[in-house]
Amino acid sequence: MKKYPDIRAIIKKKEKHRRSLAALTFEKKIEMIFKLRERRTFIKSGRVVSDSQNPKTKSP
Amino acid sequence: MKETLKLINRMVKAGVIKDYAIGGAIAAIYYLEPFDTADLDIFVQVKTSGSDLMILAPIYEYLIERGCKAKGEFVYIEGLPVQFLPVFNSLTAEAVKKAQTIEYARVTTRVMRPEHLVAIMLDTGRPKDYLRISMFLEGGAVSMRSLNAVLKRHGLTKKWKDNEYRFKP
Repeated sequence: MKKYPDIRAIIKKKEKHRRSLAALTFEKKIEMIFKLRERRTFIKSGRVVSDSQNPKTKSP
Repeated sequence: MKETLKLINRMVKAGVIKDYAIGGAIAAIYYLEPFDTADLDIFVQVKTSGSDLMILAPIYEYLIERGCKAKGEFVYIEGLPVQFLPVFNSLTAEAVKKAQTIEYARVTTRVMRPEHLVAIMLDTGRPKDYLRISMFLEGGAVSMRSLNAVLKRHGLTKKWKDNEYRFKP
């Protein structure tokens, strides 16, 4: 039977990180939302340049 | 957001609105970790009563006179889309009435309590509402005793029980 890595420690750290974010001040959280909005706008501004599953890359 | 809140407070002083509270995602973020959201929901208690959305007209007039732009259901203040929602049932009326007063960047404002936010999300019942309810429960951000009382007062106990499997940690 194939063995997979135990990621419980990672999940636990993620949970801890989420709690530390929840404990931030309201002002800091709102600041983060504005940054998220900017990031969303930036991501949305991206356009498809190729429909190909394997984009062409320059050969070395 | 500071200027937005100042402007809303001025509307209360000017008598355009009777009372207000921040609801929706921004209010949820007050209690939870930040997540991306598009707008600021302001639930308002207006002085006039009526069943159509014309009761919001004085708010729009006040804001447009002060240079804000209205687009669709939003008014843009400081580039932030703000949606004004009149209290539309006994639950949202209570949520505004019992909202807690907080300070944001030295501006006093009002935010709905977590129990009311969860009850409103349950009542609304979209997938993203259920997801946020689970965030409240997982984060221990809601008092189950207070929530049960709110649910009972507004006839939502059965809906909670029927949907509990969706958000119970």
